[in-house]
Amino acid sequence: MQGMLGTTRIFGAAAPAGARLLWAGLGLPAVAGVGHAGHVHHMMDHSVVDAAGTAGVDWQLYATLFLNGLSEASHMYLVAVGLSLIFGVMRVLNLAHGALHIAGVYVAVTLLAWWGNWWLALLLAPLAVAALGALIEVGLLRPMYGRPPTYVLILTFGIVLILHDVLKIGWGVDYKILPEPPALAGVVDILGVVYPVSYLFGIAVAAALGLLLWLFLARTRPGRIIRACAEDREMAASLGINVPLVYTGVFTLGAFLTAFGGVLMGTIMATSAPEALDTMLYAFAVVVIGGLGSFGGAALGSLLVGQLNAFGLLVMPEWNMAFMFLAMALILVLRPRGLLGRGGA
Amino acid sequence: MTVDRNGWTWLALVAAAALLPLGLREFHVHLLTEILILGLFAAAFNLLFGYTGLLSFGQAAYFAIGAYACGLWLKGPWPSLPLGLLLGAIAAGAAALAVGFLCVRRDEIYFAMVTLACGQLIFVALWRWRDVTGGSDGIGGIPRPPLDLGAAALNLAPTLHFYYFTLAVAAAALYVLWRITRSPLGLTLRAVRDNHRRVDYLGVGMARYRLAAFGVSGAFCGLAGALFAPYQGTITPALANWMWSAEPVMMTLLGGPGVFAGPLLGAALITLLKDFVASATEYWPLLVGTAVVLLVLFLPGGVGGAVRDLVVRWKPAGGLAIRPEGPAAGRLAKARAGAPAAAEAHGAREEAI
Amino acid sequence: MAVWLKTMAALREPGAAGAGDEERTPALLRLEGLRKHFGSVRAVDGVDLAVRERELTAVIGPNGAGKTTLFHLVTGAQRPDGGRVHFAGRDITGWPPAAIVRAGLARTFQITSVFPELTALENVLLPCLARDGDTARFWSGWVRHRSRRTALEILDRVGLADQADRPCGQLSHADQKLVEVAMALATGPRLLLLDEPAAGLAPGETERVMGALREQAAAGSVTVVLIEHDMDLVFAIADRVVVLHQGRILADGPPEAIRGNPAVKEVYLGGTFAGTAAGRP
Repeated sequence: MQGMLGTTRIFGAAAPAGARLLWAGLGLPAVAGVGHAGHVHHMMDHSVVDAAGTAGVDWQLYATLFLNGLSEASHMYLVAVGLSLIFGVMRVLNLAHGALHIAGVYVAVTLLAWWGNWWLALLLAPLAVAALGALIEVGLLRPMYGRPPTYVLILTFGIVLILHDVLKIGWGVDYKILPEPPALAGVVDILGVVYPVSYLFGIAVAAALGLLLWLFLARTRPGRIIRACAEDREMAASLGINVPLVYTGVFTLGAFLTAFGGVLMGTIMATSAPEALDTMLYAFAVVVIGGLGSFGGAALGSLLVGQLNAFGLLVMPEWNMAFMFLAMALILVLRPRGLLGRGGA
Repeated sequence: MTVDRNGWTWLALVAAAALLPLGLREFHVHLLTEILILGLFAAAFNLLFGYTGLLSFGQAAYFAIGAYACGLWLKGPWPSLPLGLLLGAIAAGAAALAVGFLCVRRDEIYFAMVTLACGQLIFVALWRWRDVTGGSDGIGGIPRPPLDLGAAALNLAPTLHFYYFTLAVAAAALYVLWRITRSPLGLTLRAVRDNHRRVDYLGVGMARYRLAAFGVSGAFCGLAGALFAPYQGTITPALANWMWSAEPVMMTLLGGPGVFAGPLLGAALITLLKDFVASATEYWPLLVGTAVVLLVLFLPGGVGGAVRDLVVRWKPAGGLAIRPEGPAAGRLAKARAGAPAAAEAHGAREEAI
Repeated sequence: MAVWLKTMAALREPGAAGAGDEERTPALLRLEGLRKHFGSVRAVDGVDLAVRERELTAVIGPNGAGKTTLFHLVTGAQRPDGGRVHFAGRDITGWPPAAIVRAGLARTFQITSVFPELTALENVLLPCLARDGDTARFWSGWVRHRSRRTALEILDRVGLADQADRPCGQLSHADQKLVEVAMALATGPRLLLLDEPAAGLAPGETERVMGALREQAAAGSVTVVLIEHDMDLVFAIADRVVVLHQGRILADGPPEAIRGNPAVKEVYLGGTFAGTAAGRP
């Protein structure tokens, strides 16, 4: 595969595009406008749709849906970018990524129960999951280097099964939600649209993390090393780079990001262990649409899928996921490598 | 059509399987039936994985489509088991072709992703479409209508009778699959597996054959599902879930993807194991996951592969059943006679795959 | 060396194209203004070429000159951004690779590309089956199939009949290259494109490969175009040498003319055309 995460071509062309899109998507002022106060329910609540009622509040509804889409996009982005990063550098599709995402929620639940500090949980839970990720990479994935990719896939599939049950055993199957901290409680009025602070926080943090990640990969020395490994593993090794260490680092970073996204999402939405794989579906749709291994693709893909899911509620409440799959199918047929992907799919 | 050595082996196996239930309790016969059904499921999966080199994490979806198609048909106004099976296979095969169309040109990673995603999509569809599929409750009370054999009707309600019916269908289906693997099509699929890019440059359209394999595999998965519906009596959307997709993967891995009988062997072992640790099956995914991880790390060839390697070591030279003709073949025969080591090294290959 | 000369003599049948035959013999392969670029890199930049039947053409040039890309464009691996490819009177531009092979144009690859888990016989059998249109037969066992006989004969002609039952992945590099040549020949091509057939081979092994081609050529006639870096080989066997540089044809003519061409010498550092044994730029 050419043009993976590490090449300067990707960064030269797509990174500014990706970053631009990220900021454009966050261009709330463009959408928000004058309107009456609405009442915002839970993201997946159909009463939002019902409350639309007659014309006059339409665009306000759209604004709300748009923000919902951004919020969803922000969670998916944190999962997808880790997935894309791991694939771009290690050529491994980590099927267990969704399980790590959910693990982030559950570890945070426990940390919150122990210490009662949401911010602490936000920081420590992803670190714990990242440590787990490091263990998985060193213990299970490293022995698989050089083995056919289908077997590595099966291995990560096995890991999902294990994690799924471990989560079930440890935390049960009931839905859990993280209580939000006082600082993020309540709503905010943005030019007439009332929206919860926690959602906005999530969007902002995800965007910030995305930017930081881009800067890290594009401008810092460790970032350059990572990109070198992505581009040509043998070459990097012959230059003295400790490739296995880089791989572990990348996997750990990916695990951290996805667990972080989990904590953010777990504060907004109730989750349960059986959904470990459902998260992957969204992530798959994102990376297929955006391009697996493409940094900008993860951003673009999340934005699109987020909006598709949000506005899909208007059209087909029960089946809003269908739009996402339709888009995925369309991309596979028309532009298989994804909107921003490069190289053979 | 002459019945060669392999033909006799098949007949012997079927006869053995037919004699097996005598002296066994009803529950064990019930278990044997399940082994046959899941064995067919796994063998269909392996056509895709071991022979064509395509890893699909969504084969359970076609199993489920077959189950639902057959189940709904049997609960309808004209219940006929053969027709139900046919419908199940066709519906599943059609769905597989639709999904395959999206992903056969992609590489392994994308292929796995898309099959998984589509499998889950089908699961969600079965789950949400309450009016037709009964939603999360599924469909219950699926009958086993008597089999109309012309002169008489065979009552399939008794476990033993249904076992023989399943044996007949599964054996026939497995035989067809086996013939496919030994045919020119099978060779083409194996070539696609070994080097899918090269195949195009020999005048063979790679995508077309992958799609064909996907469709055939889906159809046979659907057939297995269609057998499952009257076997179990109740079917739920969970049959399309990714965890059920893990079953044929694990069975094939355990039995060995490099041997035709591998998936069947794996199915037998897993089913017996499941029964043995019935108390712990609440955490079945944990066991499956651990088993998969261990197998991949330490025994990728599975039990079947290990057995075959042992057999190869002990087998005498000249294991291939080709009759030499012409000068080239004469050279081949001479080489074989004079170089037992070289021929022995893969004398068992011909039979194995 | 003698083997190579004999090989090429056989590939060239009596009355084959010589210097003055351009008008009389129609071109088997005709490239018109082929272009392909990757971003700002112009891999192939306007190539016009006509290859006549039974004329052995060698395409040479420094690394990155666009030789393999040219092969890709001709064989359908990539779509050209401009220009057309004509083969045996038909416009095959943009055709899928499988269709081009069925039309009679086969190739081998720079990095030997075979089916490692299949036996050598099975490797050659596949194109034989494809030629007979039997690849979709799903009932009859291929073991007793008539194509098997043909495959065995082709394998014998490259001297590998005794390796027929060995998995290709276990064969030596040279043997694998021979299998690949056999596979290409099994498609029954009129034109054979060889991408660095001597790469990675010791001199003795190269003779085996070329010897095999000679035997096949004796049976029918196959036009060969090869990419090579081994200059000794090129100058020993080619009727015509085409020099590619930065995607364009720098020089085109009989070996002696190319050898003396100052522009060509300049393009290759080190003057490897002085006929030294080094031969590799």
